[in-house]
Amino acid sequence: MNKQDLKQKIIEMVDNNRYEEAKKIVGEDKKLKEFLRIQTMLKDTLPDFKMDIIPAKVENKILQEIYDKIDNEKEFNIFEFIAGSLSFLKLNYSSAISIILILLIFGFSYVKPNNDKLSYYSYKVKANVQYLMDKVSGAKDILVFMFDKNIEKVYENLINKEKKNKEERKWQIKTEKNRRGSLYYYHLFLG
Amino acid sequence: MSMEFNELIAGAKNNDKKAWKMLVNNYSRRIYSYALSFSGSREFAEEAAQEVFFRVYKNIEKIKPVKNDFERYIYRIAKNYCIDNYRKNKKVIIIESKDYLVSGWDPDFTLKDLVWKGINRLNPQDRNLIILREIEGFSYEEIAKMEKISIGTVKSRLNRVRSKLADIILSLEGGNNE
Repeated sequence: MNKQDLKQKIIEMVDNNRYEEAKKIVGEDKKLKEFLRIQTMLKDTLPDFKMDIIPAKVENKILQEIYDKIDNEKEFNIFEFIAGSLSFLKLNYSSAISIILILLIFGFSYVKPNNDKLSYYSYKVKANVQYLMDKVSGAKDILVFMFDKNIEKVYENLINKEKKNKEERKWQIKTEKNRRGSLYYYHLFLG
Repeated sequence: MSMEFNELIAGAKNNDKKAWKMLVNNYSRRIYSYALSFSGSREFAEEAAQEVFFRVYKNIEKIKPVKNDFERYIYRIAKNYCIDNYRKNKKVIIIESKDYLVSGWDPDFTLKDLVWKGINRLNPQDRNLIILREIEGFSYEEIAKMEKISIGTVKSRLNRVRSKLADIILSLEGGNNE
């Protein structure tokens, strides 16, 4: 048996607590003796590294994060969202109602039964709003706004259409950096 | 009040805060321990534990109410998180042995410090295996399922890691290194 095989044997024996047999294999070989000493030391020491405690503040932080998410996962109100979005356009009453109806048809046709998935829902609404606004507007300027995970508006800005891609990129980077508190990007073309 | 595991998962799926509390109480310390062993940084371990539960929360609908599956799932997330961070920014995983090993006087500190430095020199995959087996105490079978490899492969890889670790420690001690 070569030395490498002997080492494997020693490892297996130490793993199975067969120390006496391992000693016999080692014999008077100095290097194997050292090897056995280290394997025994590892076997004795490594389990001590296990920490079966977690600081209370860490555990509480995790729980608080989950509780916040649970509390925030209220039903997303599409009426409020669309009404809020369209108020920027200062549409007359009948136009606003028409657009809301179209959006609703689009929106509900996309929403899956698990509509508590806010990000999915939000994404679809965003797509629909954007699509319809592109169609109905003259599209000279763009109104950009960002919502946080609670659909609270956190940013609003009127920019030139040419700067659309730059603005999107800026928010894409911010959103990527802010993974836990996802931000949702919307923009409307204004006539 | 104790809950069966399937009740815990069912409760968590229904956003029951009590179920979530129990789930976090039961498992966050294990993930924290794993990530701490991997990194040596309490701050990093905290982030890893948060990340694991963030993903559990996100994917709770897909989680089956099987305890062993769940354990494997959370350790796998933790492992991927640790390894990804190691690759992205090795500086994150600078192991501060003093921070990790002692909060008071420890008669075995020198010995543990030496072992710790040895672990620190292993590559992340090897480190993961040795932590799962020797520190977290998983069986070969559990590790095989977790890593999606055969038991024989786990054993041979671990033997290789133990041998490598012994060589590293011997060289750190200034002894002969074959």
